[in-house]
Amino acid sequence: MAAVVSEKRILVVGGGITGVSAASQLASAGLQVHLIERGDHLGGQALEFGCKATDTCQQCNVCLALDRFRTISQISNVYTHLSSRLISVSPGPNGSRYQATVFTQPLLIDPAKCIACGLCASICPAKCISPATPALGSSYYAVDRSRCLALNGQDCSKCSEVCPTGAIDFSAGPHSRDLDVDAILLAIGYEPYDALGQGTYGYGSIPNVITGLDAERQLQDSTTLLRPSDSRPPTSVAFIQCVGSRTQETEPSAFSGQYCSAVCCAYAMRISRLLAQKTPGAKVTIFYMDLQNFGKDYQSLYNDCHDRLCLIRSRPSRLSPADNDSVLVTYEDPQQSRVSRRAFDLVVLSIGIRPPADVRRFADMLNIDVDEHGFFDSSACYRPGIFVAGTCTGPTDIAGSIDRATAASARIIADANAPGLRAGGLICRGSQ
Amino acid sequence: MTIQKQSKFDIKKPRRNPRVAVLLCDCGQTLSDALDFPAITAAVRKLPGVAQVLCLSDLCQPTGIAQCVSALSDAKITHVLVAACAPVYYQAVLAQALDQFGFFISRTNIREHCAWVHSDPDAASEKALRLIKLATQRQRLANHVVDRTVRLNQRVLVIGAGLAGMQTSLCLAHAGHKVALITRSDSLGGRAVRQTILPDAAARATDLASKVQANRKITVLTNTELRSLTGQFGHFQAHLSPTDVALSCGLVVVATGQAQLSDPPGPGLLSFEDLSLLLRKNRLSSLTRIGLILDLRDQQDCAATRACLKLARRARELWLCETYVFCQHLRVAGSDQEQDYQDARQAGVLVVKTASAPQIIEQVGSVCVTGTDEQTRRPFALTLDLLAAADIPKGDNGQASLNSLLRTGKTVAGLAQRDNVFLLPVDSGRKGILFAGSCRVSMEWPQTLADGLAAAEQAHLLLTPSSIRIAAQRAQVDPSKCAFCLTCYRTCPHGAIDIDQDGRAAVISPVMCQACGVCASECPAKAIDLVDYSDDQLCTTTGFAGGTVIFACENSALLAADRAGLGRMAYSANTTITPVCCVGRVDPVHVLRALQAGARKVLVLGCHEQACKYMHGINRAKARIERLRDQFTQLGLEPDRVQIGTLMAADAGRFVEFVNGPNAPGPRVGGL
Repeated sequence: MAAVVSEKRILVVGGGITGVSAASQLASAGLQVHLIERGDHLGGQALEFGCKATDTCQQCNVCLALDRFRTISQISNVYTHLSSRLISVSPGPNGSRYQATVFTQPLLIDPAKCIACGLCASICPAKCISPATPALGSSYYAVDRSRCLALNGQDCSKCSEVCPTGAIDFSAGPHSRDLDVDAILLAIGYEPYDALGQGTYGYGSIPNVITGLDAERQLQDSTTLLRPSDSRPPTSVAFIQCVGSRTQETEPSAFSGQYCSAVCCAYAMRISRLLAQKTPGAKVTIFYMDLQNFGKDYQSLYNDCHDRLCLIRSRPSRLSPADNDSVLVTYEDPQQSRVSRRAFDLVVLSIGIRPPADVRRFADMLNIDVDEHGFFDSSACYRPGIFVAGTCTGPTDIAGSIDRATAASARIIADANAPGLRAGGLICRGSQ
Repeated sequence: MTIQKQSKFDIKKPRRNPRVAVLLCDCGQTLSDALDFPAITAAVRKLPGVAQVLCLSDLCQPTGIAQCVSALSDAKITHVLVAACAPVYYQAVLAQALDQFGFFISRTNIREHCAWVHSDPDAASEKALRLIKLATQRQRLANHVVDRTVRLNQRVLVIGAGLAGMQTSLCLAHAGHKVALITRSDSLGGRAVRQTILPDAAARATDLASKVQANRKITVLTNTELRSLTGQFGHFQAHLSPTDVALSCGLVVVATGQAQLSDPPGPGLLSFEDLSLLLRKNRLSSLTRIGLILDLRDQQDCAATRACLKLARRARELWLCETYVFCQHLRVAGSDQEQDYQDARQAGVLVVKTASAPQIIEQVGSVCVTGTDEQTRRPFALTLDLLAAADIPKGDNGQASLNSLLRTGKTVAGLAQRDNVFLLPVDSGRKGILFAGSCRVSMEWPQTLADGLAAAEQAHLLLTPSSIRIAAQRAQVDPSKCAFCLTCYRTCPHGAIDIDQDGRAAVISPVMCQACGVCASECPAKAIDLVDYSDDQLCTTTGFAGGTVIFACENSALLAADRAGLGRMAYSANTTITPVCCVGRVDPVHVLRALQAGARKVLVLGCHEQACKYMHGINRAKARIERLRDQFTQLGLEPDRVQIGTLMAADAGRFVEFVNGPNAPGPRVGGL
């Protein structure tokens, strides 16, 4: 949009909703953006989520995120590096502030050449090729490296033989390149809480215990939730809140889990309403500690959930398998002051947001403070031109991520236009 | 300023004899089994206006592009129709290569919408041919529109001088814009300086106020309100009261803050602010037991919880009294709020959670709170020396009248921004008007500052090009047909239509128009038409032979159909997809014409409400289609011959469900 293209280059680390939003903002301000993503596609966690509309939109903002992922490829000045990691950052030699070393493991299928014909996927003996971003409607294909026969020592080149455009190349090795940049924005996102660690809730061993993320993934392909064991719509569903949030247990990384993940109440209540509407007669129960506020329509959503759903203030102690593949929930009933047991067709664990796995590595590399929970402290970036945004600075939803991305890119633009007057904290740069 | 009138020269009439080149691509011959390309090519050649048919295998690759360029360069072609895969795979390279010729390019998708979803090659080929026929018909009626350049006034009007407004003004001033900052109060600072609960916020507001006052680029007008706003993005004309100043500006940022709070929140209760002032003065040290209450009438947000916990802790530490916090839910989702809670608990604050709001009984010199503690299941009745409750927003804060003045839609719960996901973060839906801070959604003060920054950035980006080219595709009024009924003025989602009192006709601002076509479909006199989606183009006469015609919104249903193709989800081949910019463009006439042309059923598929890029395009379409269904019933026709549905772009499952009917998940096509 801007007439003048600046010489300034910005490195955005992370191709999730925050990184993509920031990259498009920065590019429209005329800056050159290098966007690096460790995975084989842009989109991050938000690409795993599904639409939660009943008859009406519930404003989960997933469609907004998808729209941004779809349009980023049309923006000039954004150079996307997939399957790439930031290895090191050193002072820039050529007049730029930093030199960032980016390590790239080339994709086996070149996205620029792939025409998504699907021949490789239909011929692959290991069934390890699939569309990288099916949620966006159009996509290139990508190989799951861990299951590919050729990469695991076997002689197989069926896919590259059949590819009509020669997009599949096993010979390209990893390489690293140096990028001269003036600012770095870290938007490395979060890790969903690993529910396999929550032993008492039997995720992974009891068939009809799923996580909120599993539920989201299901909603991508179908318009309602089904029981994994028999693919039938459940008639009684329980959501268990704060799984991995507001907990005393500490991660192996020694970060404290005593914080609210801020998004789980929102998605649990939205999916609950969807279920209640899609499966007439379905009974939805939410086991909660405190229902957290979110969004501007919270009051009406809360009232609606309060009327239509069963809300129980209790933290279940254990889940166990029961007859007909149902799940028995043991909890303390607050109304009767005693331990109760109830069977549900399906139990959804509302897993929370955990700090990104390599937060320490980035913090050390770029000299940023990390708080006790493992998130970046956005007010404590000590080096000039280093910025953080999105869920790696603390849990938030899609709208919050976009807010943070916009604010961060505003600061970067101010910084790039006049590096001497650096934006300090949240306030705009300079004083008169 | 006078409204820019549309000149006749904006539209070039369609060429008399368009010469269309159709580019077919069989996707590296992967589609040659699913579609009968020789037959399609032969049939396409016979279509009126088609001068050339090119059958390629690699349209998206450099070799294919080169082949196109050489074949098209000397054939006097005017229009190009690409019948291939989803445009994302080839659009960029092809547009670049063909740019030199100035062709009118349009697209239809015979891969995702035909070859991949229909297992019968004959039916799929028939459908592909139908889509190509339809596209050429539409294309022959296409108009070239001349782009126009409009200069933008660089001055910004900021309404509201709270944290967000001051932050926005300062940033814009630093970026080189002139700023007029107006506030209806008599000083800068807004709610942040008037409160004492969060000293940091007050200090920051004072600091910002002094910077704003010292900045020469910012003109501060206190005791001033906006009386009217006319004009368009880049050329707004604001009239201010009471001074009756006319101010020209390019852009408006609304930062009017949260709803005003009622005071006091209830009989016998203090507000949090009152309590904070008492704590400051450090009177009343003889208190023995006090309480703070949340969720009294409405569910409170994180900001109220934060204030409550901070005050409770301060009171407990200062007065050494028993301090209770009553709430239904302790909202700790804000940053570091769990720490506030821990600190308060450690200081000795007692938190009582109840399932519903407790009863408050006023007594002489004290107040009694009764309810049932949800954790101990015991009823309690506590006599308190003092009870403070969170503020409750007042009903009217003037936002509704400001919104109607700005034409930015109706407010919900006193908030400025409409409920639409595509407005996030700071857009209003009306070009050139932005929202910042807690007028758009309740937020805590650090976020308010960040929001001010975001709005400033957005404003700066919008104004930076100093002049803009207006998009080539937009609505046009025929003044001779206009009955001056104001329907379009009322229904335009983007406030782009003004009324020319002299000419007695509606005038559409090309700058504000987003080309959704809602006005064109709503106009009772059919005086408005939309370039590229004109009535002639959408009233197609292709024989539909008992099939289904799908009017698919390009923002959702069309992409969902792409995804259905990617997933090889089968649906009936006797379907025809007609892309529309928004289902708000779909007129009952288009539906009836499709039925007249032999369609058995017409499906209108668009975005969900509140996720429509054109605000209420879908709502308008729903109302129209419902009316049409009623008329069908009255005439004894089956109302289900026309249906409307909503879905999102990734909802391939829902798309197939709509086409096949519910509970009939189709089989997958091929080996995938």
